[in-house]
Amino acid sequence: MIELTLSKYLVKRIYSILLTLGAIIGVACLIIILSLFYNYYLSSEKVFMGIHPHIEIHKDMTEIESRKMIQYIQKQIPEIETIQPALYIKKRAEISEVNRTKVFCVQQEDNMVCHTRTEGTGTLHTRYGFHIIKKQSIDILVKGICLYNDQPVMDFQKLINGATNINRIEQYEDTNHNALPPGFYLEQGLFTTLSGFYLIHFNELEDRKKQYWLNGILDMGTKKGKNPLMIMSLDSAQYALKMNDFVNTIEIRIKQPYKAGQLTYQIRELLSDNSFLIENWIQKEKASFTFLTIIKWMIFAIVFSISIVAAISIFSTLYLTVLENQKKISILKALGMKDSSIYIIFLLKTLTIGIVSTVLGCLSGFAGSYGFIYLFKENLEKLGLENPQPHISLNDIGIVAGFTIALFLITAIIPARNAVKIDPIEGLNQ
Amino acid sequence: MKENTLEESIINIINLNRSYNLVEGKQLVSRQQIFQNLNFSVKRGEFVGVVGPSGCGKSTLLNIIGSLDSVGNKKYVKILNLQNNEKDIHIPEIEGNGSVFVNGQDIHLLKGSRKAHFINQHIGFIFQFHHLIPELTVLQNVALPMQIKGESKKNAFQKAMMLLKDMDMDSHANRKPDILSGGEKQRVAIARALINSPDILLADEPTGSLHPQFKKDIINLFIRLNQEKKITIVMVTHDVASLYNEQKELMITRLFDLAGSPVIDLTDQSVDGQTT
Repeated sequence: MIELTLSKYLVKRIYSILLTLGAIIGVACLIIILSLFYNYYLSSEKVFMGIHPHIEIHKDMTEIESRKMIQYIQKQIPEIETIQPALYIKKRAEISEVNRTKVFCVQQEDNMVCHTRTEGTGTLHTRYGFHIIKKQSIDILVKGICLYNDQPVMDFQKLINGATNINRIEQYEDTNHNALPPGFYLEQGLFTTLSGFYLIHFNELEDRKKQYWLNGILDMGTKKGKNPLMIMSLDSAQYALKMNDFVNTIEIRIKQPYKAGQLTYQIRELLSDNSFLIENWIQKEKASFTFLTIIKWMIFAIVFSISIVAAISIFSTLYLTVLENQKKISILKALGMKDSSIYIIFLLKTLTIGIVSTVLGCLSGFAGSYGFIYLFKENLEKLGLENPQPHISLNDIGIVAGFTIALFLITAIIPARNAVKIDPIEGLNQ
Repeated sequence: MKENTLEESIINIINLNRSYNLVEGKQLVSRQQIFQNLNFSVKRGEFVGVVGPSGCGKSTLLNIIGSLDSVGNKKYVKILNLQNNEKDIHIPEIEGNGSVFVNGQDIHLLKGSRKAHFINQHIGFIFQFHHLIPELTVLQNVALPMQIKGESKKNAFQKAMMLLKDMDMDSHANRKPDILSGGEKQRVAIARALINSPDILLADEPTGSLHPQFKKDIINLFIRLNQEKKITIVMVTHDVASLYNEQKELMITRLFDLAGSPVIDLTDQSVDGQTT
């Protein structure tokens, strides 16, 4: 194809190289940004969704009633991944902020008495105990959820920047001889103002002074509003709050979380009972979702601005090329070259640069993503990205490739048109 | 000048007018008439020379015949309407009208790809400064018009090589034009102009930039092409003497002076202006 041969000669090699290099860098940066943003998006999704199921149905009922409803809904809606009863309740609790300390415990009859110093007789057992610093009464949101084989229905094994630590506690009084109320021990991570070690005591546990234990996994999620959130097994919640056989929520996880809105509507139609309150995660985390969307649009705005600069650069290079090659273009016209062929020469050149730079840019971007994550993994994890990985889908590559090539082609149109409009007589006289 | 009929002539120019309006500061300063009711024709197989002083429109005539330039008005500019102080008026910087038929085709009707096709198939242009593309080799330059036509690279290169052999330039086929002499470059340009077997060769001062040594060679080459291949040639030149042999005989079919209107047929005049 003669246009392809001529396109090699009409644009100076140095311009081609510079344009290609620039485009490679641009595409690579775009791929890296998309990959990192996707990590952030996934992690954020996990944070926002990890604490809540995708859809919640709220109504006071017994466990048996809830199981019947679960069966019915599950039959009708195949998109459901898991559906379980739960207990969501706000309760007043006493939270004691404590320091962990070594204590020495002595078995006395049925009790284990622990002190910071050795006192009395008997075999001493060293334990980790607590020293209460301060206490406060506060409303807590409690979620009792179902567990399968010690695995949570929702993935709470690790909090972002938090930790979970379950210890069996055998202590009746703290080191200052204050009676330790029956309750739950927990460690708390970054997301609430309650940071450190705590004992949580509910009034309903008052009569069980002998021993207190943890059952299942006890996590503190993000602080919602002004109340801390405690997530424990349904059994523990029912036991701690003296609400045996009582549930008030059905938690649903679906295969495609972003279809939660549509399925919420379906369930509402199915139940056709206004006594149910049905919510989905998108509604509940609207602010966070909006924030993610804003971040996404900001990235696009930045990318768009970069693209405008790139487009101006490509345009001016091609414009200059046409000015420099007026004579050659005039020669081609004098030899009978069609206007469309002259268009094709320039479009082919930009298409070639676009394709080469997209391929090399995507490869560089992929390598760059791996390199960036490898070098800055610790820092990224500190920023909240859990196990960052390069996430580049074929869709992303398709969008980037299409956008780059389209940009090159569009910016070539006006310079190509100018080339076509050259008066061959004037051009030859240059 | 003997008037040829439309059927006999390969080029027929009828009442061609061309003038230039010089505009400065939105005012018409002067008007220069180039052609005034020019009537001119060339028979198939003729070798016609066109001479005249600078600025008489020789190159313009060639460009019009070759469809590089159009017949009608163009390059409109605004000037003040001094007569009645109303809105400015638009006038063409280049005014023209008339009819030009080449190979039976009214070239005024040719637009876009039809015009390009016409130039590629029927016209071979040779310029004063050869205008070879420096980035292409000699062979690539010669093959270019045939590839533009749509022929395969193989066929185009084959024919180009044959033409270069004819011009004694085959040994330079893979070289770039920059290293060739002026005469050699012009030979390559002639080969390029011939590759699509055009009906007409239009040569605009082909020897203008050449050493006298090479001028004769090029003229002789044209004469050979005209006599052997019966190609119609219209050549613009300043160098009238080069068209005459040692016996002071005109070596081409006809010679015209474009200076006046109508054009002056110099065919029967000798090189020193005497009628033979």
